[in-house]
Amino acid sequence: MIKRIHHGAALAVIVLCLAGCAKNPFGLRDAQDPVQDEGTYVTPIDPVIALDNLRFAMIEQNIGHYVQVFSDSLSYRFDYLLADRPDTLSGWGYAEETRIARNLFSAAGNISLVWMTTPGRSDQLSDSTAVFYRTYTLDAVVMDADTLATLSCAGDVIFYLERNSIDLWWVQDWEDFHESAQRLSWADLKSRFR
Amino acid sequence: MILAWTWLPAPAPAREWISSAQSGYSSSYHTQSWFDSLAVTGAVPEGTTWRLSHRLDLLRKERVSSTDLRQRNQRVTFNAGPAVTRTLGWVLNLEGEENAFEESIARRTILAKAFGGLEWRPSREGTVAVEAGVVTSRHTAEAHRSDAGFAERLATHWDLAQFAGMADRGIRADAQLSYSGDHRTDLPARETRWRWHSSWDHPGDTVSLTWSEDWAKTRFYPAPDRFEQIARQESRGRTGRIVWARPPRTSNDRGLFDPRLIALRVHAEASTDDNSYNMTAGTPATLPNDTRTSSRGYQIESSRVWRSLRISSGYRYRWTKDRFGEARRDQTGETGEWTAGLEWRLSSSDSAGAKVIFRATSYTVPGDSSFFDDRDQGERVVEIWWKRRVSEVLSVRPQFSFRSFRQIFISEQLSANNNTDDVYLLAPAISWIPAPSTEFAQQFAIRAHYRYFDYERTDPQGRGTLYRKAESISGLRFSPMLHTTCHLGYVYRYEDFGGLYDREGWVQAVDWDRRSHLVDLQLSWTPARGLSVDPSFGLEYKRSFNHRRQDGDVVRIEDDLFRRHYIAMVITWRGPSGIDLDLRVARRVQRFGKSEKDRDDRWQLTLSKGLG
Repeated sequence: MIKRIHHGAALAVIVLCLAGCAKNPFGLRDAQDPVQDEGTYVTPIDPVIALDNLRFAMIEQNIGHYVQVFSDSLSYRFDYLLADRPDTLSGWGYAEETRIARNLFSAAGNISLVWMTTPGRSDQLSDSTAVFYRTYTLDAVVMDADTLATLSCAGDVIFYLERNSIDLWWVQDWEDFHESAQRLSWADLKSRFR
Repeated sequence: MILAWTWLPAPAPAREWISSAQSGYSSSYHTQSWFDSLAVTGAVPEGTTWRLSHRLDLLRKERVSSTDLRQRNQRVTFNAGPAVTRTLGWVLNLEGEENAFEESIARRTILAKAFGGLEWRPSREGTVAVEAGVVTSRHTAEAHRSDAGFAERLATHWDLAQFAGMADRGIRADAQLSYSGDHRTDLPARETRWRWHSSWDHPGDTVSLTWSEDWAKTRFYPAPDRFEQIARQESRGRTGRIVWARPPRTSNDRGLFDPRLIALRVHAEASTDDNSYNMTAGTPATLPNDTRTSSRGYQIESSRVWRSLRISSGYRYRWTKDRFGEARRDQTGETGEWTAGLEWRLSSSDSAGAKVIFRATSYTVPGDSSFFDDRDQGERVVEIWWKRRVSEVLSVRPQFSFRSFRQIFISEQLSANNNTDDVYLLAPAISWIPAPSTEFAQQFAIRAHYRYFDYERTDPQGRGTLYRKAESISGLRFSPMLHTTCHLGYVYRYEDFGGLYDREGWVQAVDWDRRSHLVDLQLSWTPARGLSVDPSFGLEYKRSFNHRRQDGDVVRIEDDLFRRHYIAMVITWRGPSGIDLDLRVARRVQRFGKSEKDRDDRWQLTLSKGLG
């Protein structure tokens, strides 16, 4: 008798789970017909293409392309490692990164991003991983206290990329370093839009 | 410092007083890093246990255009617990931490803590530790700020089921509670955590329940170089989890569909995390938004072994909600996933298997959101494999897989690039072991990766793209003599990529192709007991061609020629007196087209000493 109650309770829990909250794993919603151009995005079959996609997503402020550049388990870190600061202020993950990008794109009038290989360093490419060293200059025109201001950032970034399950490249880790303490870095710009 | 501890005399083996010590240095490009780590434990005088640990990391990156970047992080701790009685003991904890960044600007934080207290262990089932002490900190940038205050800590752990004598009935119940308070003037902090875990092993079934909560209120300087601003962070987290697992009831074979023979596991979890920020002093600074993340989900897995078949199936559901202080920025995610698997042992030499996964995730934003990123992701995976053991030394394993990944944006603002990726892979593999000391493996892989766009594009990439890759991977491992193993690998790869155009059927217009050769040679040699020498050599040659169409013909024009070789050596020595030495030296030379040769030399030395 106890066993029957036991099984009945377990089955009831399963049925309740399935009935109360379940999602159809087979179907997707329909999309609306586009009213804007698709922007610049190339299938990232090479790691360097993924980096180009990131640069164009920033310049074109295209969140749809931006979110495709990164792994779901992205780790973004920057160079202040001081005690007494919450962990969230020295880095974040995919959800936070894409949310910050949404905020930035909605507030920015114009973004320019130029980068080159960091002097003295060369990219490391292997079959399944790639490391890119870039020195960047990033200018963003944003609304600041009801006036347009240009935030000029510069620094070094290291991108760690890997192949995903469908053999395309995406950014797994991203490290950002100030060019100097007197100048904003990309991380400082992002922090303003958290 | 390495030499100092490496040549420490070995103490009497009965008295373990050095647990481990390690030092290392590595150099690569213009980056040097150094680490030191030492952990010493002792039990002298009798009844007193103590532990001293130190870890130092130094990093220096040379930069051409600006000041070198330097970073130093070190932490030292000392814990001691002299016993007063069998159940009562003193507790002494000293901690010091330094984090310094870019010394030329001298951003540095030093944190020191000293605690003393009592630990009470009335029985094996529980402990209570109470400590009080002082905390000091000093932050240095262009200015500096010191802070100090009293602090207290409480930690207790109880195994209640053991305590109540219920452990014999398969019941477990653990409770943990910790509290810490820090009363510095600028940066006070309080933190509370508690966790409850219970489980019940009924004959056949296991049910476990875990609940944990944590709450913390801390303060920090929001600007790294100004200390007049102080921000407060309050965070709260809750997690609950329940797991029920049921193995098959009986081993009697009563048919494929007997529900009592199905193993079941149900796992359900829910959690919330809140973070809020505000200013307590100074002018308002840029602070992170308040966040609240909630999630809940469950997973049901079942499996059934019937004769030579193993069938498994499962469903996973997960719901998440991210709130970011403003409703228009919120996002809800919902995932449903169904998996099924089949493994079949056809005969003593044949086995086959298949796996199917269907997954759909929807992200929904509020209707008034201006971000237009309502989106869905769908993934379908089918994998089929067959393994045939032709003889004792020869086996083959053909494998086919299909993966389809679809990401769509619902809004007309972002739907232009909606697409589907379909990847087909056929990968037969052969393994041949002609002699115990020789093994040969060969794999071929043919991959076709289609990307179809939902709408016509304005760029000339066509309505879709096709990326094709074919490769041959060969590997040979053999031992030509005692203590020596060789591995020789060779990979040949062909790739091409181009747009897909509808010309009475889809055709690919190749934009570029690439051919790669990779050779890898590794040797592992153990000339003496404890000593191994592992040299390796690799070569990579990659040639790319662009395809241009002229007067109806396709002309291949060389785009890039990439050459790389590397040579590396790893020497490992496990010497007497517990000394371990690990030396890694590598040189890599690569060249893109007609560019300058790029040379990268790196080396790393690690010394470890473990005694007792």
